[in-house]
Order: sequence, then C-alpha cells, then structure tokens
Amino acid sequence: MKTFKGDFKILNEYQASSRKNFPLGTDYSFDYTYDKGIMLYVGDDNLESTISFKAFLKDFVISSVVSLSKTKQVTGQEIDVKGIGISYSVSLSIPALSVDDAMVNAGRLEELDRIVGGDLLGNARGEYKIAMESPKRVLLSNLIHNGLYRKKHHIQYFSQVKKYGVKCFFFGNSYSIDTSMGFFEYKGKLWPKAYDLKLDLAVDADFSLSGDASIIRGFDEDMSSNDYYSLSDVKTWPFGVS
Amino acid sequence: MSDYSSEYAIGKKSNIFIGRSQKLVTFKPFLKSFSYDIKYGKDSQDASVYTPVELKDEFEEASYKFSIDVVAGDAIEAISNHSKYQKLLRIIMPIGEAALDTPFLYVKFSNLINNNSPTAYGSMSYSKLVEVGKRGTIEKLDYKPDLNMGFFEQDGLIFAKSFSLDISFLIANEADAGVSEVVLDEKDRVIHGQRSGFVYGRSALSFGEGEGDSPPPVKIKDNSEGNGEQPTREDIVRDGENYFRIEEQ
Repeated sequence: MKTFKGDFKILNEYQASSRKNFPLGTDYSFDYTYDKGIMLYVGDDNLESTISFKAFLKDFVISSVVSLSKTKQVTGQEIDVKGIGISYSVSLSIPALSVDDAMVNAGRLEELDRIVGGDLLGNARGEYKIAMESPKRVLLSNLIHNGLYRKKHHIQYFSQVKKYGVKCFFFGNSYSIDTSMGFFEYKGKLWPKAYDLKLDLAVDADFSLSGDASIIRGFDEDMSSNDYYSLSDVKTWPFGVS
Repeated sequence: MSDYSSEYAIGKKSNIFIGRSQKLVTFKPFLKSFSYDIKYGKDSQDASVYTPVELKDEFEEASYKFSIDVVAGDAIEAISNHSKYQKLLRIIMPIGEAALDTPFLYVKFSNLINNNSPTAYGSMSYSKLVEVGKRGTIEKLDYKPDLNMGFFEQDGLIFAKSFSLDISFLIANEADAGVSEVVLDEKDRVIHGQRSGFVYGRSALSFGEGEGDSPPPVKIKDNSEGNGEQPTREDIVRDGENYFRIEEQ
C-alpha cells in the first residue's frame, strides 16, 4: 500500500518545508510544544500517516458514561449495565503566523476531514458509499494515549503514534473560523488567521495492547484489597500514572 | 509541599469517600455544585365515583449530581490526584470480564450523602463505608482540567494543577434511597409513609440535636380516617430530646 507519510511531512513538521520558497514563518511555539511533547497527533492506520497540531488547548474533557437499562419495579428500578462509554472532548485553537502557515493549516484541516471521513468506495455504476469507519490513533502526550506513554517521547514516526496513540472513533469533528482574528489576503483568496477545532472521540476500549492488556478493565473477583487494577489492565491509562 | 486543606478536611470530617469491592478513594470537599433529585411516578387504581381514588407515589429513582475541584499544591499531589481518578474510573467499571455486572458502589460525604447515618468521619475504612455510605451507581463521571491554572511537568508528563470531577450518582431503589413508600389520599395528603433520615440525616421537622446524632424518627399523623386537614407545623410537638411526633387528635 502506498504510504503518504512523505507527502504529509509538511503537515507535521512546522518548520521543515522542503520548498525553499515556502517559508512558514517562525515563532517559538513549535519548538516549545515539540520539546515539551505536547503536540496533538491524529494517525490513520491505512494511510500510515499523521497530522499534528500544536496543543493550544481551549477545552479538554474525559467523560465516562455507564449506560444502564432500567426496569421499573414496585420499589424503584432494577438496573443493568448495557455498556460503558468513554470519550474525549477536545477543543483547540489553531493560529497561523504567516500566509503560508495559514495555507498549511487549511491543508491540515482538509487532511483531517479525509482521515476521519471514511473511505469512498465506488463501483462501475458510479455508486459510492462510505466504508465503515475505522478507529484512528490519537496522541497528546499523557493526556490522550493508550496507557503506554509513561515518559516523554519525541514523536517522529507514524509507528510511534501507532504505539502510543489511543484508538478512537471520531463522532464529532468540527472547526470554525475565528473571525475576530481576521484573514490573510493572498492572490485573491482569503486564509483564516485562526481556527477553533473541536474533536469528540469515543475510545475503542476493547482493543488489546501488547500482552493482551486493555486500556481499562473492571475489578477481577479475586483481586486483593490492595489492588486497584485487573491483571489485564494496562494500569496506566488515562494519565500514565503508575 | 503541603497546605492546610488536608488537615482542614479531616478536621471538619468532610472528605468525600467513594468505594467498591474493598477499594476506596478519598477526595477533599472543594465542592462546586451539589444537587439532589428524586423522581416519583404516580399510579392510580381503578375507581368509580363511589370509590375513593387512591393515588400512590411510587419511587422511581434518586440521583445526586455534584461537582468537586481536585486541586494540587505541587506536582506530587497532582500525580496523586490523577492516580485517584484512574482508580475511580476502575471503581465505576463493571466487574472483570463478566457480562457487565452492575457496579454498585458506596459514597459517603459527611451528612450530605449518607445512608441514614449523618455522622461525619475524618477517615474511613471500606467496611465502615459500606455501613454508612449511600449505595448506588455512578452513571457519569467527567474529568475536566482547569486550563487557566495550567499543568505541572514531571518526568516529561504533564498533570493538571486543578481539575474538576462532575459526578452523577444514581440510586435506583427505595431501600438504598432511604425513603419508604408514601401513600397519598385523594387530595394528595400523606396517609401513610415516612422518610427516615431523609435526605441529609435530619428531618426538616427536627432541629437542635447534637452533631452526630442519628436522625430522629418522625411520625406522620395517620389521616386515613380523613379529617380533611393537612398536618401543620403546629401539630408537631417535642417529645424528649430526639423525638418528635404529631399529637393524635
């Protein structure tokens, strides 16, 4: 399968454009976020590519919902668990400091749409349908990971995103233009200076890590009173605390 | 580094205890919001114009919704706080691989969330929590860092200096909720039933008891004979130190 990693290099490496006439401008934010390891990475297993955003976090929520079925009884309700849902809700700001940076940001958002939008499958009759969505890898330091990010890593390859990123289904992906910041005008086109991006991610908690560990498991019946983690639990999700 | 909040919370016996299956986590009571909601359903029996209609309020469910700030004075405490959250996540999970057993757990928060036992405790064992804590299920748990406060960095990892936990705690049956069946007459007056220790360990009709007392029992006048009057506060007289009742007429 063709990989797009090389083509998408500019979407990840903010000051590493191979085009000499395509300067992105410089500020300290990329160095800062990269050195601190706090970039938001979204990876796709099929494309074997990633895009990344500097983590100018505006909002961050981890939500855990126990879905219950309730059967009415005389003295209340009998409840059974239907399932557990764990989701991230992340909002971040995507500013640009130059026209080129603004154009690349637009490219990042377009690529994000492609990654999370599913694959269009066509046939000879010209009928298309969207393939069933597959989970994506998302990594943001020890805030969003699969439990294996227990120390700082310099993320350079998709394999690292695959190794540490948590598998997520995107059930919400929207961005808006920060109109108060205005636009760059360049060759008759408008390029927003800043976007607000909002991602809603449902964690695929069933996938197994190495050694059949899962990112989270409930208690085992035979656990001792001193154990808070099941043997099949990775034990360090969601914040990497051992 | 330590601050006085731990000693203060222990001294005031106001820590929040949450536990299940011998596991227990404790949070300081930096309370942001707190609400209690109880739902009743109404059921009517067949009746004609010659038969009085009996309406019965059937307990459906009760739920506490509360939000707390979990703050840290230093990186070590921030890591500890996040460790507690990791453990709390496991506490609300169904047990093991079994087919999603309902994760009943116990919550005790001074006299605000208790199982008819308003006595406050500075520290708590799990067995004590089972005895005095309210039994139910956490339906929803939200973690939200205070981004304005920022993060501590420790060994290349980042931990929020302060985060909030929004908790929705469901009590699904009458016994766990601490309410008994309340029966109304045709004018929606109580003709049978009582609410023991409901909700905060002290009846609204009682006052003046010492801290830590058991909730005083409250007897509601039996109006089944139907004298057409709703009991009023003046109907209630003090009888002994911890006992209130309504005078029989």
